[in-house]
Amino acid sequence: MECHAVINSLSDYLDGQNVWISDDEAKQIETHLTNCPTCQNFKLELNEIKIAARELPLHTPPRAMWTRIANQIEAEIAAENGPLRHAQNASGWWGWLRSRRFTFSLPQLAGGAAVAVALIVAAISGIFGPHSGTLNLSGVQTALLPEEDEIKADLERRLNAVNARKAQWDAQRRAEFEQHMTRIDESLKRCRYMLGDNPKDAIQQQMVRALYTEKRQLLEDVERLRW
Amino acid sequence: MTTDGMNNAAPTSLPASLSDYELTQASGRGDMKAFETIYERHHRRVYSLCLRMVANATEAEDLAQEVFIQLFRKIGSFRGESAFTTWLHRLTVNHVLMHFRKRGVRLEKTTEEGEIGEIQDYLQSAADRPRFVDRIALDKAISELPPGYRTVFVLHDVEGFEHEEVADMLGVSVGTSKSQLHKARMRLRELLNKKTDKKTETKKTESKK
Amino acid sequence: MVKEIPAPNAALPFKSIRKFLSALAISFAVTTAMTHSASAQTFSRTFAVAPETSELEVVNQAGTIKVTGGGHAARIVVNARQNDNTAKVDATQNAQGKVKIEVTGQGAVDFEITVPASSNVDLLCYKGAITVANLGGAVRARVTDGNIQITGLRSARVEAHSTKGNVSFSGEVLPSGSYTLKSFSGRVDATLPANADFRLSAASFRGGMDLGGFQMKFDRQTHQLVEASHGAGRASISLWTQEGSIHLHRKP
Repeated sequence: MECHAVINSLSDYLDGQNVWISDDEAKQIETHLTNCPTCQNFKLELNEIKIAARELPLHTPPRAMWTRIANQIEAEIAAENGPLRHAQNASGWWGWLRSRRFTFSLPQLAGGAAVAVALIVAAISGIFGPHSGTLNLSGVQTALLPEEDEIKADLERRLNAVNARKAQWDAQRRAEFEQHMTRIDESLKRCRYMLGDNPKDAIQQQMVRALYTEKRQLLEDVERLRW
Repeated sequence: MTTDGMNNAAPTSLPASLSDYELTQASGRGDMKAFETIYERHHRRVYSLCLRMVANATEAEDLAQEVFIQLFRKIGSFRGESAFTTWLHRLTVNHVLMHFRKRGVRLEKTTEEGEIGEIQDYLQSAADRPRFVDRIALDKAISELPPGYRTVFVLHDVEGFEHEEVADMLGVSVGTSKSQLHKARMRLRELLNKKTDKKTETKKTESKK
Repeated sequence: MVKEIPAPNAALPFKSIRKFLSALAISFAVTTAMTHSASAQTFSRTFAVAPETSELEVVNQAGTIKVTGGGHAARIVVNARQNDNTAKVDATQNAQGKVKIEVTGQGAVDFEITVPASSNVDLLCYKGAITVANLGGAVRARVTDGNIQITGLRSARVEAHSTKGNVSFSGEVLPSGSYTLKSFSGRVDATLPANADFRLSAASFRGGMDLGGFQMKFDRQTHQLVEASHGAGRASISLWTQEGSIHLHRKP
């Protein structure tokens, strides 16, 4: 058997000799493989690919996906149960408003009136609360963690000390420092925003804590680097 | 409506002991918490499957989202005759294929280059270098496959469907499914070797004609 | 350069005094060697240390810090190189034998340091990279902007933290050990023995996780947070990244 004939049959060979190729053909391939390191190597590689394909890492979609799914389902249920026809296109504006709520377990979704109230409440909080893209939290600063005020006071103190020295830094150092801080602050806003929606969400609590630690670390670095 | 408290229960705090079937039954009765648990258990698989088939994160997100919404609508019809995961994967695959059809993605794409040339090229450069398939590299290589190869490879090798099922889902012959799979693996091998070569700067270029 | 000289302590056993005196002798004998060339300036120093209490701290502004364990059992050897002459390197040893290297100024300095394998090291680099290999002591590595790579460790305490860079760890997991790997925007990789005994807490806000096929008992498993144990769950492993991804790998 020629190399290229063997190589062309390798997948059939690997996927089940009794199914796709005859015993006789399988034997011919095996004989060739024992004598041809190139084809043998080829077989090993294809087999590795086949095996690795079964063990690929899973990808994680953004967390917001569940929110969108839940919104649409909720809207569909509401549409079925109540006269709120406009709630049907939940993926649009309504979806955004409803994304203010995180998980929702509404065992008795059937009550159309109750759903109507919920939607209105959500709409109002959606209009007046932070939503859609901007996620601006400056101003909204109720403590979301029991120790948050303490953390903030500590950061404030460190930040003041750094700010006092910042004037002496060169422009690049200042810009980089600001960039790092801003990036962490943005994440912090986002996580606080999510935590605000669902104040007992332990995961978001942990994320928020980690981000505060990150900020403190940056400020500590500055002290250790004697800037 | 006072849903506080229940609202805050993280999806993971639900009884982990409930089987998928029990959860589908509860979801069928409109229990969103049960459905959320199903989501928690399966969303990564569904999303990964969509992502691997379409090789585009935004599209995959949209598709996975639609799959779960469809799942919620259909969940009452799940009778527990097959494994739930199998059922859900079928649902996902069908949804993605439907999407392909709408977009006019042709699955029966034949090879652009002759493989014989590729093989000969390989024969000359083959060294018994020790290597293993890095799963992340493979994942990336899959996304670089032409759509036709990619679909068959994902369905057969990643998701574990048989050729008969793949052929049935794609509306092609078993022979086509088999040959596309082989070509997909060959192309992946090539893509992976290219990556390894780039990394280790082997003497391949030297020995090449 | 400040050199702290401890007051002779009568209570110290003879062995320690001898060690101290020899350390002193070496510090003086091996004076700072500075070589100027047209483009680069190098710096090397050797410190005598007691292997079991050896400690090193490096604070670098920019450049790389490479620390390797297992050279001379009782010496810390520091080699540094800078391309321009804008940074000042201070290397001192305190009474307890701890070696501290501090860089001030803006330029990049690249360090290659060998230490006794049992040394504790505490490394900070604002911009650059840290590489640590073959150590058994406690390791703390912090880079604001850059990667951290830790390999061949047999340490019970590891803390590696980058704000903008990848963090990777490969080494043994000791039963009483505590391992913290964090990156704000980079990816976190941990390569652990397949039979390692640990409790894992891994959080990734958006990047996703690959648990590398470790069969664990999950206490909590969502796409952002995993809390689980492997084996008896003795060591503590904590991984965090806000924007990157987390990857566990099994060491064959």
